[in-house]
Amino acid sequence: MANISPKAVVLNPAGLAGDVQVGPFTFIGPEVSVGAGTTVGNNVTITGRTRIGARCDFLPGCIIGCPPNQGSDADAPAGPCAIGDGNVIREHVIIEAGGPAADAPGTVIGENNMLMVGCQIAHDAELKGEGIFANCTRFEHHARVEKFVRTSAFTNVMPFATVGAYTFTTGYACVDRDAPPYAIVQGYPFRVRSVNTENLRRCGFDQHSIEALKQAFRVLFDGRAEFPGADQLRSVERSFDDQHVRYLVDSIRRSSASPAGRHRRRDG
Amino acid sequence: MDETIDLTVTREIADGARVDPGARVGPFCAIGPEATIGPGTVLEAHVTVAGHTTIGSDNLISHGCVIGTTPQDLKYSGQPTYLVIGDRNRFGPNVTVHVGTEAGGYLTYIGNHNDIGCGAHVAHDCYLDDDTQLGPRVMLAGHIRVEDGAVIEEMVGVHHFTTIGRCSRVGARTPVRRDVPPFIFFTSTGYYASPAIVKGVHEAGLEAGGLSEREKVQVRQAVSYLFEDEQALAVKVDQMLTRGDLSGPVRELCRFCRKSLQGHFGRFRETFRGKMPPEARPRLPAEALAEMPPEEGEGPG
Repeated sequence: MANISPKAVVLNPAGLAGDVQVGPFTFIGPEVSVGAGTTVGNNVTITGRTRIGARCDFLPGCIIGCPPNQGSDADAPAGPCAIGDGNVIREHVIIEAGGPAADAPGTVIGENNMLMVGCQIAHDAELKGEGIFANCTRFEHHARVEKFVRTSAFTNVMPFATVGAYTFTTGYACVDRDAPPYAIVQGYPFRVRSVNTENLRRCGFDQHSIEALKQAFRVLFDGRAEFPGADQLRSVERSFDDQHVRYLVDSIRRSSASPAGRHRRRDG
Repeated sequence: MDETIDLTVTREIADGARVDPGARVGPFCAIGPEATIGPGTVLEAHVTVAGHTTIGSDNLISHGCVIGTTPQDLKYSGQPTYLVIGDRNRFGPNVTVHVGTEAGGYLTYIGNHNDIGCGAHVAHDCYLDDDTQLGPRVMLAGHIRVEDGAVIEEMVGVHHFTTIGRCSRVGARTPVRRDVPPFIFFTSTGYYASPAIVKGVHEAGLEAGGLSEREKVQVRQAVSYLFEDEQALAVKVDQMLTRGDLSGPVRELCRFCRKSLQGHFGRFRETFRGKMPPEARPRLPAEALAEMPPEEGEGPG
């Protein structure tokens, strides 16, 4: 039996795994399921069709699975919200449920993310996992974040925009189109500052790949255009035989061919 | 608060929590077993006080505040660390304050008579001295010191290890990545979150700092001389400090600048990275000091 505070309101105790802890004044709705080893602190609200994995940690004041913030479909039932294993959700984080559209993908949070104080995740956003998101990072609806991303405070990811894997966004950065992987991006509209070598090293990239990416970045991002031209991409592709450079080039191609430079707008 | 309502069912005060009978605790508040709350302090609804937290007297802690939870630092391993809050502070709604980390000196400290706006965040190992004002949604990263009387306007994000000088002011939405000297108005150059510069003297700060008319003129002259062209700042500061006739505030300004220039990236407190800062030990609660290793390895004072 889960360890539920007598001052909590849990409408579906059967949905909670055996060793889940629930603090006082927390509300857990009727359609919520919570995996083993998860700790839900006090004054937390978890509602909607929300599925939470194992070993997550919810701190006071966070609101999970609330209906999306869109006026037109106020009465339509909200979509699902899935949160994977090992996520740390800090104080006052707000994660919306998926949108009411029949084909809406739902809000998906992968594994081992850390969402710091006051982060907001809008409906149908997708966080693939292993990310660290600093205070007040805001993901708008259908935003997508690949693995091992780090953001700084007040970063804003616009609707349907993607943040590429291993990328770092500086404070107040606005990801207004797809941000390439392996990069440090800053400003609004953002520009690519350099390769995120520190994060790559921490994630165990070999020196050969880091050097290849550095040289590729020098060719691709000269600060003049939003996306590198086809010639630059071809020349980089020919010059470097490296899986990460190939992924970088493929990502940029996909983004630059999409409306407003946001590939999720096309692919869903 | 209506005395006829039975508040015992709508509060959770853990065994061991030391809540003064003169403190008022609102509904849906959760107070952890290691917390101490002094007389006259008011906790409104939905306030959480966790961790080894000591709150002084006559503070106002508004709805939804979360005080004393664990730091957002991946190096933190779960050892007991502390948060000390003085007297007569005002915390707006949804303010979050975290306890310190082992590597940063075990302590987060908030002095007296500070005004912290709604949704603001004071992270691990920060030191707020007295009479500071933090606007709404101000985000202080770890290891920051905000000196007496500093004003930080809304939505300012401050980098780790930064010092905000005495009676200075930081304009709204300014990304602060280096130390802000005392008596300075530091702000973005106009466009949203663009790089910040020293814009001039914070006049109200000169008043609040209790400077005489003569000292005010001297500070204005020093600021326009030092920050007209920051390229040669180090040279100008050294040159000014060799003069014997500097007034107190100008000397304070020059010494601050020299310390900042010594630290990495213009942040003096970078010298305390991984060390216990000198502010920590005198402010730590006695119970913490009893368990602490003897004094060693402290950063330069």
